[in-house]
Amino acid sequence: MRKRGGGFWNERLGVGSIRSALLERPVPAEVGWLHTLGSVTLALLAVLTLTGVLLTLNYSPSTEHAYHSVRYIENEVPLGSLVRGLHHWAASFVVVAIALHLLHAFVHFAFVRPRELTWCTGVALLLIVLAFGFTGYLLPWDEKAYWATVVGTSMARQVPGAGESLLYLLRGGAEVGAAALSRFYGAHITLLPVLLALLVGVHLYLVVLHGISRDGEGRARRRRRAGANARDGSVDGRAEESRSVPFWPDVLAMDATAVFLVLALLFFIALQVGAPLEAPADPTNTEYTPRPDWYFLPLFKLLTFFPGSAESIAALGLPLLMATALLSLPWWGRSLVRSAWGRTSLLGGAGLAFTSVIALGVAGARASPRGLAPPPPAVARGRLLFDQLGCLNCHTIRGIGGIVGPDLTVVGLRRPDFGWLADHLRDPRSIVPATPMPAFPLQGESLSDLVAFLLSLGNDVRYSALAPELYRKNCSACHRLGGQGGTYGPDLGRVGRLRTVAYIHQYTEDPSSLNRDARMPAAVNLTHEQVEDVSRYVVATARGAQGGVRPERPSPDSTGGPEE
Amino acid sequence: MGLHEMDGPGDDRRHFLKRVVLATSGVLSSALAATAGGYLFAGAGRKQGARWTTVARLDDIEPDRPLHAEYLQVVPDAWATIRRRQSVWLVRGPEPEIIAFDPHCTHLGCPYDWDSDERVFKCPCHDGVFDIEGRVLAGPPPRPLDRLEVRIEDDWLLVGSLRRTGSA
Repeated sequence: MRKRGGGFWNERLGVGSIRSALLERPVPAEVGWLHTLGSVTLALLAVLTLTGVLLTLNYSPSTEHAYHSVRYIENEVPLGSLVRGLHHWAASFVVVAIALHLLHAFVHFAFVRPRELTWCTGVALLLIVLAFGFTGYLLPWDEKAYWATVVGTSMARQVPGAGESLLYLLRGGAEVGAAALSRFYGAHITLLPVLLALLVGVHLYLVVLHGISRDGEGRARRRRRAGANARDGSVDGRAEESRSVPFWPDVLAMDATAVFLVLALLFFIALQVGAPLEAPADPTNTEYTPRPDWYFLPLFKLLTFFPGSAESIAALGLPLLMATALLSLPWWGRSLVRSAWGRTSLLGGAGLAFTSVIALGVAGARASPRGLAPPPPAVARGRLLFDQLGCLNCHTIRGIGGIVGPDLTVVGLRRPDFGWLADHLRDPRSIVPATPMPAFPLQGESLSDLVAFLLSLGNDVRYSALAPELYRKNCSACHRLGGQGGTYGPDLGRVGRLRTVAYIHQYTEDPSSLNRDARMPAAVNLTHEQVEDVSRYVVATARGAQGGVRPERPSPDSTGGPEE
Repeated sequence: MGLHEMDGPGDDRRHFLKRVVLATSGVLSSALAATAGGYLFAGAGRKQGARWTTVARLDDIEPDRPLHAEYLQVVPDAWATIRRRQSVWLVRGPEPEIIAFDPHCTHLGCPYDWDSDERVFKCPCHDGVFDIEGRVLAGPPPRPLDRLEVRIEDDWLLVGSLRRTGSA
């Protein structure tokens, strides 16, 4: 920062004038700590850029590899979990910083002439940061990521007329899959960063050009008058001018201190809490309750108030209205700012809107998760252990995982034998001599948890309270189950142990598709959901009654199996 | 310069503020640079050890006649686990009992072959020649053949990670 008039760089790039425009510009002396929010935002964006670049070096945007590459960053790459933690938490921090910055500019009416575009680029930056959050959320490809994106993109479908096209634009297909992941990744690391850089550049240029706003238009007018007087050399003008301080070092010291404190907090949280990573995305999981990231919780909660077709108003109309209102504020708010009454109502309206958003967010965070009861704690702990031990590096569950070991999707159905599974985990070679599977020296509860999870695979079928009655009315006349019922058709206790839910479902809806000689009539009086429910009931009851007994032969419609 | 710089006591204050800016930005850039540096470089030289793989039955390795054994190895490749076709030259010797040679010449990595007439390993690329214990007999190779860790379980031979030899 040495000042040299004719330095090398100054002569070639004219940095001297840039430096004096940036550093020596006068800033109103009344700037306070809240004026540092802009610098804090800028610093957080810099941290996000740096950590984002680092993360791309070890990330693979494919449905097959995304989750594993993120887990690799988390567990294998040196400081990988810190870099991920910084990126994760900085994303939340920056939303808070921009929102507060916007609020601060609002209550000082800093959006009036000539700073309309400064305000607009600021609002646009908030929207872009939210888009960053939405697209980045999917990339780890865990349960949370997958389901939040399924719900989030589904909202696009409600745009009247263009819903399906918009949904296709976002997903690149009917489902959230490979194309969606590539699209979100592409937007997150190419399109959005370019827009962000452009808008940040314009915003900063405007901040330097117009200087920091003094409170309200009255003062600005006074200053203009004062500026005119100063040029005349009057005392009044000099007094006004002396209420400025230079950006460097007076204001920059405040900015630097604020940035330091915020980033220190960011590092602390990134190190202490880190970024969460749930189980890999599982499109067949019916028990997961999707939840958005916290800054989308207000919208999440809002949707619960608008049933049916009115939902599109909440999902799209209100956010759109709010964004439009913010972007056009400098024009419709201009006349209001001029009167005391207008200013009060502007502040009141903003306070009301802000409070509603916060209240919705809090309500959304508190909303009890809908859906079925969670799996028993032992199974949940076992699943966590299963992920932590890296079992999916070699084994596959429902199409996700490695190819080296056997597919474990229905292992609980094929090996419902606690002792066999426990021995196989502790000393695989004692059971399968040539197996490449390493031994896992687990003991006590962790061993029983992991085995409980494995036993649940293929056995975790749930049915509604209506299923037993549906079964009794439609099936029990011909079939036996749990020792009761007719004998005209096969014993479903046996069928339920050998067949999967999908098989029984298809057989019930269209018996001839699986057995040309079937005498059983198709279940035309049941809906698709009811057939599914009853099929689940049959399988669950059959296996529940015969728990711990190994099936006589593996189910025919599953791939692979443990080494026999 | 503006008027605000003219009063004397302010100089101390400005000096202090400059220090604050330099100190905070120095600490922050160091923390970020250390994070990035660790992330990018701290993994250098770290090897993902190969898993032990069964490659041959012990009885199949005859004395004085190297056996070229092919096998499928499970290798961790960053976040993925892949199966890779590998091969190894197995030699039964007096000491140690079994030697497993990496099948690439130590010169530039060409695959070499066993010449049963001359009883030497010959590399076709640049005429490197090794004896049955992997020592360089002729040609450009800078060091003896690299070996793989071996382990014997019952009647089976297992190979593990590659151990590079030092210079000859």
